[in-house]
Amino acid sequence: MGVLFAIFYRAHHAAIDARRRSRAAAYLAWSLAASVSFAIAFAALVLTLAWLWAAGLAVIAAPLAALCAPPVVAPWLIRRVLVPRGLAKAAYFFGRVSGVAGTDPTGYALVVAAWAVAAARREVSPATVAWVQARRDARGVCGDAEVVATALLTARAQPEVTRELLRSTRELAELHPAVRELAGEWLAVDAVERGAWDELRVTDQWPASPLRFLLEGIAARPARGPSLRWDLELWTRWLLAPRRGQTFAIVRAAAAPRFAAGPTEDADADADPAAPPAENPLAAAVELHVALARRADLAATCVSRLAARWDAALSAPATAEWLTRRAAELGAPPHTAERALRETMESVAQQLCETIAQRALAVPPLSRSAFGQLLTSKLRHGRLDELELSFERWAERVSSGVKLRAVDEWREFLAVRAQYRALVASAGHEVRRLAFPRAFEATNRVAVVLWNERDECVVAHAILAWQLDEARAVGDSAAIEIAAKNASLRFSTRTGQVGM
Amino acid sequence: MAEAPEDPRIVDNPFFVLGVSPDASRIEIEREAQKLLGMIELGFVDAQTYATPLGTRPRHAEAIRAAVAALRDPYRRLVAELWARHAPSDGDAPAPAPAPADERRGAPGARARLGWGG
Repeated sequence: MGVLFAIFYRAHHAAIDARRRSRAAAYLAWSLAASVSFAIAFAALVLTLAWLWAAGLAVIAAPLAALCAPPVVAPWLIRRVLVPRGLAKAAYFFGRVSGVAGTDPTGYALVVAAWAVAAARREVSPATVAWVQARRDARGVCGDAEVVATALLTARAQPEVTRELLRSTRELAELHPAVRELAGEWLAVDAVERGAWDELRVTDQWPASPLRFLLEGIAARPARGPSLRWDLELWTRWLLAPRRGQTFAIVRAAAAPRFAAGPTEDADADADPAAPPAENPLAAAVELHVALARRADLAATCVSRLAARWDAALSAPATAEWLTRRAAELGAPPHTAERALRETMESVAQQLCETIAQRALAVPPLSRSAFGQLLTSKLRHGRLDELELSFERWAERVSSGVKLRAVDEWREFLAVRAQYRALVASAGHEVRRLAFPRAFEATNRVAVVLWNERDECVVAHAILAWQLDEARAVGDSAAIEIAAKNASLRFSTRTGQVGM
Repeated sequence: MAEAPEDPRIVDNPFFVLGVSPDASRIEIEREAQKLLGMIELGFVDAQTYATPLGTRPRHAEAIRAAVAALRDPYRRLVAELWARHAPSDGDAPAPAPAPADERRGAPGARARLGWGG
């Protein structure tokens, strides 16, 4: 009976491992295999214990139960009991012995403890948070478990930080499948909360937990409405997922002919068209300018649309004609109309530029009109210096020996890189080529310190891999050569060897 | 714009400060300014605020004088007209651009309901 338990328990985990690599039918098949093998293993364990107990061998049954039961019940216990109650320390213990923990049980345990902090019904005490942080710091080298744990610890107060950190784990070479599964589940639930259903259509980035698999299924609703096959698959996914009571309404709404909560192919159809009304482009620009001035929260798309409208308005012949006519009617000196147009262009471009910079918004390529060129030039001016300074300050601090935890160095890299990406997105490829050499030099200094002096190979490798991608994007052959060599270096992680 | 509610081209626009149309003649502008100055001096409540597309703002004698001075200069009047003529009146501006479709279809509280939030 014990052998039966061991065989089916191993089969259960093999099925879960295989499931992580699949989607759709294969996922369902592996889930079924995992469930059946688990049921048999569990039954074998219970029967064994019952038989020992009935035979008067309680002295054997008790230690056997203590040995075998925790790994079996840990996944259920963690999700259903410990996490909702915020019992981070107990979750840590059961995470270490859980059958799904994989090759680095303390890494998984750390993430499970952070999950209890993030998802407890009531906020956990600062002492518990500090305890989890201490467990993280005690592990030493930073890998994906440390980044995910750090991300989850900030989830209550700063979900946007959590989102960025969790997304960044895809760049780390250390790979704990169970940890990535939890990260993917948080991101999926977060996407549902924000209504970002499109993010759930990308299915190859995260191993799918049953909950993520269900949410991906909802996001993949057919454009022409649900079909019988889709309905069946969706309800099967629902059966596999936890929290069926909570997800039932979402699935039922998704399966209904009109589903308002999920994505539709025409999701962009009701977005305001980018093209301004042709009749009076100046009125259209001022109108939108005023309308957006009333909004405290501006998305990049709004600013882009406004920039496009001003672009059209200030380059329209009708605007120049109107200004010239009015200037003449007012008895203005010669060239007043041109001056008014030029200075309006200047002040609007300045304001747009400040808004874009403050919010790190991405702006689509602007036209080659005078306004478009002015705005592009303003977007470049100053921000490149600012970016270079950010990279330089970071590299200087690291080189001078002022150490932060590796996970905080990773966060700093993400912050500086976000600044770099925002500049590139708003100012274009030419600026990317200008900004890259300094970015390369600074990131290289940091990566070398992290790798050589601190053995933080996982974080350093991710920085080097980014360098390589960026060097290829800008076509810097010298940087490609160095980065390719560095990024292919061999190193060990807690989940295996990386590199050639 | 983050600071746009205080955008001086709109909130300090001389036409809004004086409450006159962009088509107003110079004489009409001077007359309106004198009337407003007199009303403010006498403490008329109605004259103490003016409407802009970004909401009501307090009106002071200095602002009235500055507005008249601005509209006497053809260049400054032209720029002020550009904004005042094309700006929607208070409350008439079209609804701000809709948020991206995904944001409108969000499910607030999903994190908590699906076991990932407090």
